[in-house]
Amino acid sequence: MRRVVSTPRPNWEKKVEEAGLSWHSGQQPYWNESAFYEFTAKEVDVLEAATNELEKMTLRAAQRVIDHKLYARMGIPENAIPLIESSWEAEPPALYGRFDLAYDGVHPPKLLEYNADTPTSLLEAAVVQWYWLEELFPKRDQFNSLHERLIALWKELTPYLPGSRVDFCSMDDREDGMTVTYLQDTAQQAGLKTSIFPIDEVGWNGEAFVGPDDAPLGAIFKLYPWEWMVREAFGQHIGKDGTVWIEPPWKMLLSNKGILPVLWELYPRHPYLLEASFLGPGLMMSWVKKPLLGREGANITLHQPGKDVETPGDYGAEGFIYQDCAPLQSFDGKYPVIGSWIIGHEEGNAAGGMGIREADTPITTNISQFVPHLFD
Amino acid sequence: MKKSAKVTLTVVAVVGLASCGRRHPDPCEAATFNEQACQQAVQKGGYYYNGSWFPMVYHYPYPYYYDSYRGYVGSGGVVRSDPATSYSHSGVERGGFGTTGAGHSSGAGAGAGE
Repeated sequence: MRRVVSTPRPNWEKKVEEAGLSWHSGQQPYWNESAFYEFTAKEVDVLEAATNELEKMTLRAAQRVIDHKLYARMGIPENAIPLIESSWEAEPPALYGRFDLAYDGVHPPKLLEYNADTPTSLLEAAVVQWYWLEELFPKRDQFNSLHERLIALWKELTPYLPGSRVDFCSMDDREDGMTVTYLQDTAQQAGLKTSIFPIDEVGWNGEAFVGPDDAPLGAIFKLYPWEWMVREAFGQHIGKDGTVWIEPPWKMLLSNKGILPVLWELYPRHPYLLEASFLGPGLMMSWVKKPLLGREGANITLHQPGKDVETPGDYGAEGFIYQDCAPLQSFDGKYPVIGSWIIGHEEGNAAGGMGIREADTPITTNISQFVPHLFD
Repeated sequence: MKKSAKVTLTVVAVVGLASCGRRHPDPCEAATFNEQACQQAVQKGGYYYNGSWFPMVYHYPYPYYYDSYRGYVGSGGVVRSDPATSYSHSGVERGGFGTTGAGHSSGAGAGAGE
């Protein structure tokens, strides 16, 4: 694994926009093709195997939370428990997730966290970096079969989607809009009927959730976290009608940082895990304190002997977990985090590709840059 | 399989990204004029759009907006009216999801994804 400095394509902004990445620059470019990461096939095999293994492990961890009723420990409210348990039993459609891994090409990948409910940066990983590869390195390879896996999965899920239809909603936000619009595209390519609207246009008619046209929803993909939904005004109505929510409510077990200590309890000293605890740092020399329900690197404390670094934010009310500090390798002064995607939950065959975000610090935040990759 | 055989996008992903922005067109605006909805909006000081209430202050009586609309059309302006049903109030409650995200994003400008 190495970081290779590269010359951006002329008019790269236009090219990534044509691939659907309408938001590619903030204070600095978010899409950054002035470098890429190069892997060996063996390293990609390692990441793929780790992702499939972690997928299996996290499903076992979810079962453990349910079996041992660890909800309060994870800050999960009472009204969410029946939703979690019934959806876990019924196994409604579930689409995707992204493991964030620390990896240096030498040591085993380490799970930093699992974005199982509302992961973004999908379009970049599935499409934009693919076009980049096709244009610059057409004879080389990329760990990326996300696009066709998504289409194939929608086809597989079609019998479970009322009327062969799925609607999409998110906050009225450009980045989230890119992700749901891309997912809508893949659903359409799978032959599904679709529509898209802001989540605040979801209605309740007294008996059922409805779309902007007042028609009852069948299946709806929501890029909006369950932990927020169950606490909002319409949270009381979830489960009263037949709406199929994607991702399903049980995903709130896995997107909760509390799953990290549960995993450590289940698989102590597993090579893909970092020690994690609900109680405190214990004997950890360097550790990271993360809010149970934090997002985008907010409210993180990175403790190293003699030095604490904290990120701002307004999360943490539900509590925190402590995780051993990952030995993040710096490449040219940048800290990459592997976003390793799973599409579907088929055991041993869920890993579908990866995207890399790098930052100037060991904490990945919403100003980290997406950098493409390839392998031989 | 690690490698995509083919990645193609339909028109949705390429040009549709702007389509999920908030839309609650003012029925009294010339470019989105809706006669019936505008009359009621002026009378009630606001309008429902897809079940949500949008309070407005209209400083003039309805004919003023109608005349503005006619002038706009007369000068070649394009009108994209929503159907009257968009402005009807069906008893459906809306806005019950999204409030937490709106609170978080007001500070950081971020969405709900991660």
